[in-house]
Amino acid sequence: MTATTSPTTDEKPRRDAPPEGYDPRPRVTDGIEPAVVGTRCTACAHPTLEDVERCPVCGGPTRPTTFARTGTVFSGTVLRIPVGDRQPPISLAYIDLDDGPRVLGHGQDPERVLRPHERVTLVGETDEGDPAFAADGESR
Amino acid sequence: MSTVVRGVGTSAFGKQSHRGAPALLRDAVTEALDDAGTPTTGIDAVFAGTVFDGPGTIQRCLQTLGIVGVPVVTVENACASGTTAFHEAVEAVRLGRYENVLAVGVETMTHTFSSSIVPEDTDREGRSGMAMPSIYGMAAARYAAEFGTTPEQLAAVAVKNFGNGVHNPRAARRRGVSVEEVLASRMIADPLTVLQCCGMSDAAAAAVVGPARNAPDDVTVRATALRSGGLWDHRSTKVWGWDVVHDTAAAAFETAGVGASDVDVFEVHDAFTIGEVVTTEALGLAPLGEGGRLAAAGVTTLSGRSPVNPSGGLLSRGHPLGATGLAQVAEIVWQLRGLTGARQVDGARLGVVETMGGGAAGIDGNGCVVAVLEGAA
Ligand SMILES: [Zn+2]
Repeated sequence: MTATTSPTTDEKPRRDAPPEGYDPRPRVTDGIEPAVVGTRCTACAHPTLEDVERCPVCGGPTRPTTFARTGTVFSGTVLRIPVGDRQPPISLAYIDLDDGPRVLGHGQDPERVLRPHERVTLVGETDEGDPAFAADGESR
Repeated sequence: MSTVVRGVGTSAFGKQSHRGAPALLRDAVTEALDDAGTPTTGIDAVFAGTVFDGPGTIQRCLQTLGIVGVPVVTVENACASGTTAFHEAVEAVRLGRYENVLAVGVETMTHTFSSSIVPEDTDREGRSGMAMPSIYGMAAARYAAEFGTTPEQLAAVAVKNFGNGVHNPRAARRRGVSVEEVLASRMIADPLTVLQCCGMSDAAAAAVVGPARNAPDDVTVRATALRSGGLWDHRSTKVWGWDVVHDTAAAAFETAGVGASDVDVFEVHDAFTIGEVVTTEALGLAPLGEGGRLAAAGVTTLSGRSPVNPSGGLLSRGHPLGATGLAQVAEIVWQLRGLTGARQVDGARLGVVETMGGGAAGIDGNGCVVAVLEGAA
């Protein structure tokens, strides 16, 4: 299979981007205050990462939104084995965003376990394009 | 009329990629058919489970046994694929569609993967590197923080199950371990070490299901239940998988008219030590947060009040996804017939099988099956 990136651009291709370009991960906005993009139900306010047309909880209409950058760790771990092309260590955590859904994030420091109840802030994306979080007090 | 398991069979479990799915499946199905007293020409329909083995695998295997010209339905339900096939076979008999139904599962993990399972890249979390050990590592970390579940309590599950597996000639790993050895082994996903994670394994397992026929070795299916997980999101206070196991078990127990305390022997999904802790809680063997005490206190050992995983579990067998659930069914059938030698639970009459599988982000598990089986009085 051949790469689909244009040879005329300098843009670095994402290492793990499949040729068809579908990326199911949550989108993170650019800028100094990045935020996770999703939808919110206009009837029951349920937040969803997927770009759904109808709320999976109540069936109500949704509108696009961004969520708070801050959140609380539900739980986290550091994976110490390769996952496909990814090399360990890999810090992974479920983050409950303050006004939003539970999102799987990467710890900015791949060696550091993000512990349950720790406060974290979204700092952007990893090199591989995953939402990246740093614990409050951790240098960024 | 009640539905019974007439016969069961499995291949050996272990890394045996040179054998391929057809030979493994023949081992399991031939044993199950002989056990049931059913000729290959007597099978009316086949429900099969596999996750990663390729399109047409089941028909490719079955033709080598001469099982052709019948309905063959292959299901994929992650780790619960084999038990989902079993559930569908039981339901087909119960509803009168067929009389002799083969449930079979196969997985050649070492053919598909060079080391561990690579998560699905069309899944939002799989694409982010969420492998199965990290899901369970997070559950273990949450239990440590919320309930004080200790590394030693987790290790006690591995000590128990590997200890039982020593007596299972079909297990992939037959060596006892100590708590110290478990905790000193290589870290995979904090706080889970490698001796708390099931290994890669190739195998097949099968069961023949039909209406009751007054055969003394037949095992009655008191109930099976199957459901997918609910939404698992910021509203969920329990760890991943707890609710779907609880709700599926509640449905199966209600149909069977029994409770967890009535059950003599369990085979549950211990892909990781914390999985057994969470599952035994969700089945009702301990209050929320106290499942860590069960193995350490001896409640779930062979001679304990509620023996869990006398076969050695997934930790000892390894985890060939499609085969696992039917291997659990086979172990419970053998236990209820009193055939398991040094790993026998004395006088076991009522047994439970539980399998829960996942991988799809946002829900509390792709699927869970709980079956309640009863031996002859
Ligand atoms: Zn809604």
